[in-house]
Amino acid sequence: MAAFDYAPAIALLPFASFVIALFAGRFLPKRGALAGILATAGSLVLSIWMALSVAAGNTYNEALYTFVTAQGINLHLGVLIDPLAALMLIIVSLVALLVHVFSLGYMNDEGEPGLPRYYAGLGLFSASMLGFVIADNLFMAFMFFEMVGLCSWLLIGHWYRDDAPPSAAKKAFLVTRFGDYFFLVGVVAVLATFGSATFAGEESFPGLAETALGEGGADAVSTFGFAPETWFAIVGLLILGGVIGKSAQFPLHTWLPDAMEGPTPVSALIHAATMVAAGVYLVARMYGFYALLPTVLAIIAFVGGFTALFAATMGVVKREIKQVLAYSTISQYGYMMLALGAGGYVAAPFHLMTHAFFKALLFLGAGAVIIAMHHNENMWDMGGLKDRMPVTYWTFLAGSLALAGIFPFAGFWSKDEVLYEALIHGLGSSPLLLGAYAMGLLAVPITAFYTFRMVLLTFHGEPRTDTAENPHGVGWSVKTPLVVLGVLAVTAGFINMLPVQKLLGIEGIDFLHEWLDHGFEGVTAHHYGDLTGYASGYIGGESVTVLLGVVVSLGLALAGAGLAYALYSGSDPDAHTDRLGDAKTVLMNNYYQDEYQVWLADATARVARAADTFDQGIIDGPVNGVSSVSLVSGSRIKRVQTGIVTNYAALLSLGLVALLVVLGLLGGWF
Amino acid sequence: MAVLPYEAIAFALFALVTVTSSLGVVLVEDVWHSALLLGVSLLSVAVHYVMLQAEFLAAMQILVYVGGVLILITFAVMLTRVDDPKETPS
Amino acid sequence: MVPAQYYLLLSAAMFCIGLFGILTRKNALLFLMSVELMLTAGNINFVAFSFQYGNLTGQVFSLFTIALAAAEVAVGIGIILVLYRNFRGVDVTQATTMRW
Repeated sequence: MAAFDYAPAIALLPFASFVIALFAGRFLPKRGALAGILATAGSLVLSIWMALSVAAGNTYNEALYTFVTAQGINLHLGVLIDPLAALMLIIVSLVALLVHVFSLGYMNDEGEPGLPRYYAGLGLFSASMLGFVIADNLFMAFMFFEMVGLCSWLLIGHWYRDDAPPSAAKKAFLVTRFGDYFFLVGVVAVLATFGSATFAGEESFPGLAETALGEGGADAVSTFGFAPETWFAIVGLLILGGVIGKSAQFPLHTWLPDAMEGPTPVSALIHAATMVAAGVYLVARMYGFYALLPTVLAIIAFVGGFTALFAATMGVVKREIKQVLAYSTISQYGYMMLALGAGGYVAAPFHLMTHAFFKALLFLGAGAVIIAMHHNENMWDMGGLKDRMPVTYWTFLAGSLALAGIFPFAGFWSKDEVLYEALIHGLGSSPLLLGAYAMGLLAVPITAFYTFRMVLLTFHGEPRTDTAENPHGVGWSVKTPLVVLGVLAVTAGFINMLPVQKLLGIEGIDFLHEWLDHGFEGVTAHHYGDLTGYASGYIGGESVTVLLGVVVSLGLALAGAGLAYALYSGSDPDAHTDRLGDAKTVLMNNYYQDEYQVWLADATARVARAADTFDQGIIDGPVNGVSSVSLVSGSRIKRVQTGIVTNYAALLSLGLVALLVVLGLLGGWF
Repeated sequence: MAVLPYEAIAFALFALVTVTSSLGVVLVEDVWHSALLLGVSLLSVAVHYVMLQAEFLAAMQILVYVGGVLILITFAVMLTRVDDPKETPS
Repeated sequence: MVPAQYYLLLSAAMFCIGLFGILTRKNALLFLMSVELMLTAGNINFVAFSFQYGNLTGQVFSLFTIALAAAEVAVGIGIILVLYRNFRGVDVTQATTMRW
């Protein structure tokens, strides 16, 4: 199949732009931006071509380069293109392209230094994420997962001369790295258990796990003395560690708000399409494995629901526009995890897609506002920007409505489906899911509240500073991505109008369900639905439940938005956060999560120091002792080598005499 | 054991020559004299070989040692004279 | 017929003189000559026993030793000339650059 022969080029094109920007960027007219734009545009075109091929019913699963083949373990690079990967490829390459275009306005026009480095980082970032998406096995996925982490470090710390960005970059790298340790152990465990880490095909590890859990299949894999269920749950949780780190789930979410120190287009890329999405995509990619493990699924759902609520509350009090968006990102990825945990294999990629569009839109819109405000991010210094930058305002509003989940914007459809999956499966089988559902539902009005607080403070009312009075204009390179994403934020939800189908009985408008339901055998939404074993329960019939879910979540969202309007509209809104009292302090300090982690890190450092003392004293002591004995004796004995031939001759003669004497004594000559 | 007087006298005489010249080799200060004394010593050893009925070996001793080895040593002696600054090596 | 013991004594004396020369002198040429003395002492031993037992093997062995001594002197002179060039003399105690 011709189309799929070009699949590796999707990742290689941005990599080429990385090389070009790195080595030749300073000589190019836009410092490497054009190379990046061309490369990501090429990736987008190829991705669409892949998607069309997939839509024609083709799939692709091919090992391209094998590192190691030993004892039944096969480490290789390969390409897997199925409906899920094709969908993700389009999302990632589209957002990467728009971010590159936006960077022309955000970085080039602002005269930032270090542009070749910046574009090289963006190129490598896109390349690693696209490589991660097309990975056909867990090992390759891990490699690109790590590269994504490395690129986030490079880009968040772009302004390395200031104090905060390098520190934020280190934090992002270390916190995600902490999760990745578990992921690495998980990869090794998968390889040791199944001897194969491929996602799909004959020898895929989800398929092997399914066989092992079936009748009489337990001998097929080695489970190291555990029952197969227990061992698979352990492996699943280990891999989940990497997911929680990268997708910024509680308790490893703390790096993400700090990552706002990076350039705003980078924030858009990290939050919408690349790094944070990697975790959710990984779970969806190996969903056939997780679907077998009810315990792990419940943990995923609960962590997701809790994170959704937890992060949303912190977003309420923030002053900086990007901070609000950062916490909303954490919260929205919580929803995706909730969906995955609740058996919503379609709902999670759906929300991932709509979120990618509207969150990229919001970040780029915030970037436009930040350009206009001369890099002041405090919302209390803004106000009244509505009339001065209408394109930004209307697109930003579209993104906000989508984020808040207002009908009929994209976020409404996907968030509703997430909550719906959690509700019916919670009613049908697991009360734990109902708890997660409750938290997700509670986060809805809070999301709407902080979203509209942000919109109202930024764009409405009277300008509160001189900068807001006369904002800096923005160019086409800023407006074009905003408009494209604005349109998508309005319309992307229509590809999966499940509530409409359920209520009105119009068949065939849940395109995404159908899309994700073909592809490889055993890697389809339908198959996953069979695997999870979640039963569905309804309150008075299916359509009543659907309607109830829609009405409740929409009502709550409108209530939150209304509350925000009541509090923050008007020409000169008050700072109502002070009314929260002590709760405000706690929220402003992010529930003291950072302090807690610093304390944890200090405690770990103390253990490490003790281990170091043990290592240097007890372990190294004997080793050093032995070596010093030979060292000292060597330095003594080497004095024999005087360099004077006569001495050597004398020693030789003495030795001969001594030998003769010994031989004589032993041989009885005397 | 009956010892023939001439043979014994000859042995004693040449043994004396051998030992004396050998001692001379290692004791005299001048290297050139040492080389000459070494020649004497080796020649006298050749006489001993004749007395031991190893005439061929005696001939070889004279040919190889006195004719070859000693010539080489005298070369070296002359090439490495340190007391005369005019004779520096090439 | 002089008994073999006397030759052995003669040979031992020559060997000791050679050893004495090596241990006491500093001149590299004297080393060479002393080694020749020691080899000759060994030869005398061989020939004496060959005579004693009427067996020619000892004489043949002596021939080899003579050839070996000649070769050894040729190599030794090469070494001495290099020594002379590098250290402006043939005093072996001066050439101590290979020590620890």
